[in-house]
Amino acid sequence: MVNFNPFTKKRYEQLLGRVGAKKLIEATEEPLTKSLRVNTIKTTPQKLRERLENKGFTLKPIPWCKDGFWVEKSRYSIGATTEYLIGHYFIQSATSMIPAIELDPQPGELVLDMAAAPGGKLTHLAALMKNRGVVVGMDIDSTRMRKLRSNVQRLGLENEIMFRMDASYAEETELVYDKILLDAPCSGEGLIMKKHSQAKRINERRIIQSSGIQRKLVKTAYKVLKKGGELVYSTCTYAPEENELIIQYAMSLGFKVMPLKTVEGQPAFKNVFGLELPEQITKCKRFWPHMNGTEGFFIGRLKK
Amino acid sequence: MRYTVITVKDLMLEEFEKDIEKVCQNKILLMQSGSRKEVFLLSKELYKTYEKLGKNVYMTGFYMGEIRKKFKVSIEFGEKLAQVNTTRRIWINRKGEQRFLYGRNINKEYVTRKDEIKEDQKVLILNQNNDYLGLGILRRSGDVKNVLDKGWYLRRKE
Repeated sequence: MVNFNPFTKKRYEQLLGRVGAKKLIEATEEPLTKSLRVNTIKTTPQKLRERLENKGFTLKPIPWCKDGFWVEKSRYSIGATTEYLIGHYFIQSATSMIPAIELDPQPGELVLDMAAAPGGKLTHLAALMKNRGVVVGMDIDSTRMRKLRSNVQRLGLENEIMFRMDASYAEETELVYDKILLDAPCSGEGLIMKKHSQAKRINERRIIQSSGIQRKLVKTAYKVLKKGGELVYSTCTYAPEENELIIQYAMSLGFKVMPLKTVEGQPAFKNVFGLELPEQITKCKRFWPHMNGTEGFFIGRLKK
Repeated sequence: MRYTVITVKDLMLEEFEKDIEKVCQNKILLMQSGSRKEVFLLSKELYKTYEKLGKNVYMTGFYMGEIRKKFKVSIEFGEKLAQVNTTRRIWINRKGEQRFLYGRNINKEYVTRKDEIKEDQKVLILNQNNDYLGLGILRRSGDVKNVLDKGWYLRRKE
């Protein structure tokens, strides 16, 4: 049973109506199907699927990620196979595979991941770049950095440069990036499905604090991105202050909102707590547990 | 962290010398300055970007290993060596694979095939799918001592 506090419940009702909020809360209690992303630096989806199915796992392709599978049946932990240890895949939620695909980095490009640890998206970027070009990863937390390093090594990356630093100071790298991924630190409401205790930790202060950090990061992203370059912004939270309102802020800096290329999802809110937002913001998408069967997720593709 | 450019000769290799030279061809080697002398392998393209950076880099490129008294190959760099080496390989069966990935040594009955290897030499351990699993030392008895294995990724403390 997930214990949502009255503050959160009231907000969900304001955003989704009574029935919608009830459905969201119920869906949050459903178990989430595990998923994995094949590391194409080391193997192919076909080969990995065959190997894991021979070991008794049942995999189902994820429609929006050609390298992604849901693990529908497993005889033992998906994190304890030889294939995992030799870096043939990364255990990653299906929605977390979207940002790198939407950013669509090419071999030879210079790409920045502003919140890189523990490395799910950074290693995805490197794989899409065929381990060529350069992917720069930043994260501020030293424990998470160690996990990032371990994942980067296990998956066999060769094109990364990593910094333990606050990415809002990314200008200090003195580089101009072709593309930027910002899977922003957030209040994490979308993760309640995975970790029920998270529900208690959502409060107004946390949302305001996160949105402050997100604004700083978006502002820096605008400065270090080349003209015509793209930023993919995503969070795993529902709070409009960390999603639609950040996109509105990004537009005020000069970013244009672009349609997504690979996923449908639900349109972002046009009206937030009585505040009318520009139509373009609805090009950003949301994923809801009760509508999409995934974790909660928000994503927007922006062009400078 | 600060790094300096070194050459393969600076590694003062005693084993896998030719393989390491081959893997490092047309690449740049960076060694961490400080108490831990970790070595990283970079493509020229990556090094060009690295050179422009004004900040301390946490890590870059492919982690090759660490210079202690002699050069200690990393788990992952062994995989690079396994891609070019044709003389120092031992193949083990499924049971042996499980034991090895738990960090254990391998009894000779789990060995299905091996190159002509002198005893007490470091060897590359492969499973029946030709996946590289780690490094070992072949003993006179025919058993293999575990030096490094990829089960480390599960055993390491978070």
